Order: sequence, then C-alpha cells, then structure tokens
Amino acid sequence: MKKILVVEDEKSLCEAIKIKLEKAGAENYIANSAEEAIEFLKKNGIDLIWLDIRLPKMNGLQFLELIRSNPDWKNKKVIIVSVSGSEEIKEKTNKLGVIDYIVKSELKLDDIIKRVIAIT
Amino acid sequence: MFFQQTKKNQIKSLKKGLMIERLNSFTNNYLEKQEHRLIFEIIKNTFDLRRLKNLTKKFAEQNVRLNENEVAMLNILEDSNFLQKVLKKERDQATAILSSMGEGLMVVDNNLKIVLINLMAEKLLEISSEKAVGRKIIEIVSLLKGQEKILVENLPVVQTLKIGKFVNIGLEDNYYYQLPSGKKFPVILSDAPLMGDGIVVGAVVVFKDITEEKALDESKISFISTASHQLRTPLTAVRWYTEMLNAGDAGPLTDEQKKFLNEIYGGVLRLGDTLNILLTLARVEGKQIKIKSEKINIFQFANNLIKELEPSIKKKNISVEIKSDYKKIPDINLDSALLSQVMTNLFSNAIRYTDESGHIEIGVNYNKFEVICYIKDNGIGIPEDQKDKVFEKFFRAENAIIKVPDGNGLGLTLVKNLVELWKGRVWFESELGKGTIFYFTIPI
Repeated sequence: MKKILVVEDEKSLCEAIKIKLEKAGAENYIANSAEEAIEFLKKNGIDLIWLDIRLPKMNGLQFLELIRSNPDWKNKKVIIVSVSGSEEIKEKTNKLGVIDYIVKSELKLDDIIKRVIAIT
Repeated sequence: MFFQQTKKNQIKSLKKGLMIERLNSFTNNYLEKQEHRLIFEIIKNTFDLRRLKNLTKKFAEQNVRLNENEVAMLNILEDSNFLQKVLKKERDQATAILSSMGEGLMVVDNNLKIVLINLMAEKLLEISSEKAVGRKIIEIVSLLKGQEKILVENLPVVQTLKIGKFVNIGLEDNYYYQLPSGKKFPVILSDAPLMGDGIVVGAVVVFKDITEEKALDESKISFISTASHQLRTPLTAVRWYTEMLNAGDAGPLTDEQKKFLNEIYGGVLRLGDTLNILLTLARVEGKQIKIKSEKINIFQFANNLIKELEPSIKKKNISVEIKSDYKKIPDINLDSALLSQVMTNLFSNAIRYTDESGHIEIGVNYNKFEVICYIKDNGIGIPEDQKDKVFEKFFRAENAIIKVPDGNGLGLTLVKNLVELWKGRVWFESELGKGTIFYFTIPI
C-alpha cells in the first residue's frame, strides 16, 4: 500500500482527504504543520507528500526548500494542493521539482484523489 | 621884408595849412578806423546776436526735448516700479508655491548642478538650499531601482538633459532615493526639460516620498492574499463535503436530499467563481499580475476556446464560425491565461445572452499596430440607456438579469481591466433585440 503524507493545516479539509484517500486504498498520515511533517519524515518513510502552501509558521515553500536540501529527502515526490494558484508560486515550486500543482477550487475532490493516486 | 614877411607868413600859413591838413587827415584816418571798428563791432555784435538767437532757439528746443525726456524717464521709472512690484509679487507667489509644495523640487543646469531647491526637497534630502545650490545633484542623492543603484548615464534626469525627454516614474516602478547618510525612501518622480531658445538648458526634477503609499499598497496586497485564503478554505470545505454527501460517502440519499444538495453545490460553485474574479480584479487593480509573454496563434486559440465551451454551445444549438479578412494573422505575444479569461468571458456572455439556435461569430483581423478581435452574437442586445454602465463593477443590464438571473456583473469589468493591462482597447456596438459585438485589441 502506498504511503502518503498530507501536510494541511485546515482540519475540516484533512478529515475529507483522509476519508477519500482511505477509500482509494492509500495509507495516509496527516501533519497539520510543516514542523510536524519534518518530525514525521525523520521517523517514517513515505512515497508521496501532499503539500499545502499556506501553513502556520514555516510555509509550504520553505518546507519544500528544506527537504530539497536534505540528502535523505531531496528526491521525495511532492504534489502541491493549494487554494491559490498564483503563477509566481507555481513557478517557484516547479523549480523545486514538484510533480503537480493542483488548485483546490479547480477540481472536484474525487478528481484530486485520482490524480494523486495516479502519481503514487 | 614884407615880402619876406609875407613869404614867411605864407610859409607859416602853408605849414599851418599842411598841419591842419595832416591833422585832418589823421583825424579822418582815425575816425575812419574808429568807424571801421564800430562797424566791425556792430557786425560782430549782430553776428553774436544771431548766434545767441540761434543758441536760445536751440536751447529752447533742447529744453523742450529735455522736458519730454524727463517725462519719459519718469514714466519709465513709474513703469519699472510697477513691473518690479508685479515681478516681486510673481516671485513671492512662485516662492510661496515652491515652498508650500508637497513635492520636492529641484532645478538643475546642463551640468547637473543644482540651481534651485524648494523647502520640501531640502527637508527630504536633509540639506539646506545654501549647501545644495551649486552642487551636483548626484552628490546629494542617488537613485535606486529596488536594491540596485542607477548609473549616472542611465539616470532619468540625464536622459532629460540629453534628449529633452519627459520622464515619469510611478509607484510600480519601485524607485528609491538614497542620501549620503544611507537613509533610503521610496519615490515617485518626474523630470521635465527646461528649454531656452529652443535648446535644453536644464531640467526640473519633482519627486515625492511615497513611504506611506507603499506601506498602504503592501498592506492591500497582503489583505488580498489573506482574504483570498480565508474565503477559499471554508468554501473548499463546503464544496468537498457536498461532493462527498452526493457521492454517497455518508450513506445513500433520497432524491429530494440530492436535489437540495445540488442547489448548495451550484451556489458554492458560483460563489467560488465570483470570489476568483474579484480576487483577479483586485490583483489587476493592485498591479499584482505579472504578464507572461507567450507566442500565440490567435486562430488556434479561438478554435480551442470553442472546443472548451462546446457543451454549452451544443446545449443551446448555437452555430459558431471564425471569420477573418486574412488567411494568416501574425502571432501575438501575450499571456495565454489572461487572453483566455478575456475571450472566455466574452464568448460565454455571447452564449448566455443569445437564444437557442442563435449565431456567434468570432472575428480576427489586424493592422500595422494591433490585432483586432471581435465576438458577435445575435442575442438580446444592450439597452441604449444602460450602455455607459456596461463595464462598471457588479452592473447587469435589466434584460440580462431577466434572461440569466444568476450573473455577478464582474465579467466585463475584468475583461476591460485585463485588456487595458496589456495596453489594448475594448469597446462594443449593440442594438437591443438584435445583438452585440464586443471588440478588443492586442498591440503587435
């Protein structure tokens, strides 16, 4: 079973994501902040990081820069799922080697899950 | 004897006669000379008199002229006093205007030396007029774009002096003034050439410290970004859970429950669209949109757009054609996302406000300066008395509200903002009940 780490601070959204990923047959872990995600990564191996951009304290971009500079994590697959889709941020995340950038409002949750599973 | 006596007498008398004669002659001579002198004197006096008369005449004439000159001089003096007063008044006014100006002002000569500096400039540049005048402008302040110092030859004021160009630097240009003390503040400024006998003899630099405006602008941007996140996140939650209920993730639903859920879902989607368009508008107005340059074949672009909107075209059985006076249109350089927003908005409007089995024409033409696109429908048209409000935020024409109740009235505002952002033009022609043509241009 594929392991997905979901980094998302909005708890109401996390619940929906968890239910849908489980239904799709993916093992998933939720981190409500980048700091929490780092702690998780230190102890666990995962196949994909589902990352939000706007997070409390360290934001998604900073988190991405950090894992890209760490030899153990630099090749981790990352997919961005964010509410905003500014070109500037898209460009930056692209340079940091993310696989996909999904704007939450542009797709149905089912379609987002399908894309994520397809990548893993 | 007698004879002798007589002779003697005769001689005597002769002598006497001779003497008298001599005396006479002498007297006559003398008198004659005297007379000559007198005559001479008289003549001389006569001449003197004439000269005197002439002199008197000349003197009188000169006197008149002098009097005239004196009057003229007095007039000139009076005029000059008046002019001096006017000049002083004007100078006082100019000084008052210059010192009360909210902007800093400097006048420099051809060698960049400061000739004049106003009170605000003294304050902002932390230098007194006495110290500034005569020094080069580059010695008392440097211009920066962002973090980078602008080289002397590239300074706008140098360009103004060189080619007489007017330069305007706005808020979005991101310029700063830096003082020798290290103090730095954001500025907007304008440089104008100072002309004398048709050549540039100097330049006028007017600048404003925009620290407050900049802070306001930044807080506006951060507000937009925060508001965007705060509104979109709960909206996403509503959307996702509605989708999950609908998909039966919480158990099967009755038909009526599904119907209600669909109403919620429709409302959420519309709210999301309105929010997106509002945020895009705020970004355009706040100049937060960066325009990418992509090569676009406009025919291909229009074809793709038709394909994307095919479901709603087919639903209303509308016929669509692309028209052009040319076989080939030069590629344009534009941000495809922005062009797509403009064309999608205009095309969706055409579909929405046209009856079933209507006709829509997309036209593409060009000239030396621009590509001109139009989207023409034979729909409901725009009422004459509402035409001037069409591009206003949230405005919807009465007949449009009746035809399609749930629009947000932001689409055309966005179209106008975006077209103007890429320096194009947008306008329309419309006849009530017959149809509308929206035109927009893209500079080549």
